[in-house]
Amino acid sequence: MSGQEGPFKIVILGEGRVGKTSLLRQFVSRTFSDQEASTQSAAYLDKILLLRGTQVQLSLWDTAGQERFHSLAPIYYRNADGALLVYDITDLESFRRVAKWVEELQVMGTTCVLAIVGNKSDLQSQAKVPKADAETYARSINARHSTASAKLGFGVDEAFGALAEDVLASRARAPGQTQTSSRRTRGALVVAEDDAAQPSRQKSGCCGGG
Amino acid sequence: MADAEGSWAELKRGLGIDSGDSLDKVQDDVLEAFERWRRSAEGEHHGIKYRLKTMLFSRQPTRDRLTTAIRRGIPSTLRGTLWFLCSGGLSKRRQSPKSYEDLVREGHSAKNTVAARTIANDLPRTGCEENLISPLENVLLAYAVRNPVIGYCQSMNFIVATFLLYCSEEHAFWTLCSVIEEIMPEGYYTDDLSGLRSDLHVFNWCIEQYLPQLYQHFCRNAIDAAPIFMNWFLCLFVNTLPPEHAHRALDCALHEGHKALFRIGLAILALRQKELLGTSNVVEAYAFLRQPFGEDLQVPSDVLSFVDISSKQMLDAAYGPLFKNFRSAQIAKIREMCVARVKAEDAEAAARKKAWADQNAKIKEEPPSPASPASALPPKGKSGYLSAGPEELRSAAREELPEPPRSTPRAAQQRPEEVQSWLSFVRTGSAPEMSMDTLEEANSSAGSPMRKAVTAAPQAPPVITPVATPVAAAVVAPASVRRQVVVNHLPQKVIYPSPASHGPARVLFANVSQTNSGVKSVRISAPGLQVSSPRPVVVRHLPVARVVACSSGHSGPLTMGFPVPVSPSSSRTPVFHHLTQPAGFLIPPHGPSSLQVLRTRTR
Repeated sequence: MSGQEGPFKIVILGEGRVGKTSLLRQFVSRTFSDQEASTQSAAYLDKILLLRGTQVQLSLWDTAGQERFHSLAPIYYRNADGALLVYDITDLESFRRVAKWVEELQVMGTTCVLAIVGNKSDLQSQAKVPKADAETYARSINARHSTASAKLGFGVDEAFGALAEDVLASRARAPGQTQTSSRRTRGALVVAEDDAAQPSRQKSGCCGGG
Repeated sequence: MADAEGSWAELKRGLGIDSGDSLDKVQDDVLEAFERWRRSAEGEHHGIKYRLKTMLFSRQPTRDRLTTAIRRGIPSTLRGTLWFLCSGGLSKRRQSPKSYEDLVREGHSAKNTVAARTIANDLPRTGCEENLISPLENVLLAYAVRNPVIGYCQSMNFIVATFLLYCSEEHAFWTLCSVIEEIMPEGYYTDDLSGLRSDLHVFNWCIEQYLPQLYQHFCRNAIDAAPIFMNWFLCLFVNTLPPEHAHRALDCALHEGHKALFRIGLAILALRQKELLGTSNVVEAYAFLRQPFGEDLQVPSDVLSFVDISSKQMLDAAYGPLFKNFRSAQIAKIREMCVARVKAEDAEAAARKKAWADQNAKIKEEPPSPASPASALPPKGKSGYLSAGPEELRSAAREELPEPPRSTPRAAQQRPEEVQSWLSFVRTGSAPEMSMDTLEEANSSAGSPMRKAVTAAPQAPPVITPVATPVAAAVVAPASVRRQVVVNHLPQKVIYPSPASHGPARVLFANVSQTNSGVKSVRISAPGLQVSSPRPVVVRHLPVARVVACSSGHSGPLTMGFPVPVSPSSSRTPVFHHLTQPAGFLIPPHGPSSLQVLRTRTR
């Protein structure tokens, strides 16, 4: 258990304005802006974590929160290794949305590891989502739950780190999938009948052009 | 450039304003006349149109001239009004039963809608200047009232903020109406964004057609840029390109319609092709695609630095020789199929959700988890995941590999290939070399006898998932393309067990041979295959010439394979075929691999 792992694709899902982009910014570059622009496209960031002596490369995908962008979500979460489901502890609706995401991921048959994060823990006084409920729910779907504050930087590293660890653990148990789902170089067989039948191997993959 | 300057001067003179002024002072009736002229077909010499044309452009009074001038860039003093006019905002205003002021008032009184709440969330995060926030809010709220079906879609904020840089608040509003309702195709900003998703397919096709090298590179390295392209189209490039580039792109898109967006998109890729070809993964490619021409989006255009490609270069590329044969009719035809494809995808997703819900209904009979007290808790207890338990259980559960619920795992994996097969006929349907008689020939050689052979073969039952079959049927293709569907209709989709997750690709062998009828067949065998039946795995009599690629364990959609030239001398676009998974195959746990077999014309 040393050396490098990944890259693992982590997708960040959640309702609009719960702080997905801010969490990501805080995690990757330790910055926070009160006026983060709303996200439509994939904000795609890379981060290398050191977990138990292993360098784990995470490729983090930020997504758009508005509900109508859900129809585009498969573009994001295809091949994802982990999903970070974010809600806003001051917004009950955003917590309900988490369940919708979970359901969607299940329906679409993705195999990613889940973690739930309640963001904006600095606004604890205005909290509307009972922590016990959130934890119960997380347990029911076998996901970790934590709270974080992207603004203050509390719990952010922990949330991502725990998810990365889970991904790593699940991959360690299914080594076959590590390579195929996250690393896109795979063997290819090329047979060209007009080239004197010399099955040659080349690095190849197939794109998902969406 | 001088020519364009002249055109604008003439335009202003024609409209009766001094060259220094903006167009805002022009009387509405003159604007209307201008707009009517612009909308009319070029070169009709009668009535007010003629008078206006001669008034506006004394020489060569055609719409082409305006188009040329617009492609060369609208001067910023004229830009606001011309956006309003060229987009058709004026007719939107004329046709509207309610005035803009009424709509704003209504919008402000309906504060509790979802749209209004989202708008309120987005206003501070649009990144526009303080004094533009209030007009931005007015415009967005008014639009949400005007068109409750669409309401508000994130990205409209960026578009309106850009309009507001040049237009008055009201003009920005009507221009927005026109963009959403006229210029962009149906379904762009709606709940399911189906129009946008269709366009992503169309754009993919465009890339393949016009930038094949880049397309192949994307395929080989599994670079899926759809999330980026989606932003390009949805926001009309305003938060992708540096301001000047974005505004000039808007000039063209508002005047010429949404096809211009494809041109701009292709131009960006073409100008960045060299860099993109040097990238080896998604991350590197995204660095170029997110902000292709420069880093700083916040700087006003006149002090912009860090931009290595000028807006002129971009426009020149977009309308240059590279994309000369970029025909509206062709794009429309492709788009028609893409729309059908997206509909089929949606239907499939809906079916899957329904199946999932039904499955859940059965499982629900089990006792619910003990601790689900609050109403705040969403409905849960889904089957595949471990149900609730005490803390210790949780860690224990962690030790187990969480078994993900896979209601129709095969379906999830086959879907990509459908896309592929579908795209193959898009491709061939549009390939100019594929003439009708070759199609006939392909039909006769591949169609009946081969098809029987394949379907009758015990190892090759028809398509496994129900979702795979309707692809061809669901797509209502134009008649010329529909012929292609027949060619591609052979149920030939094979998912073979993966050789190994990595390491040398040692397992699959394909022997391509020629039968006396001149048709190729392919025999696929592999030492590591787990076949429950003792029979060797042979797929017979596929009209196949070339096995292109075998990819393994790819659970996400494989949208397209990459075309490989059949032989150096042939320029024919290849057709992909898929083999059906033979009965009795076991898919090993480390994931299946699909074998794409490329079909070529038989000798």
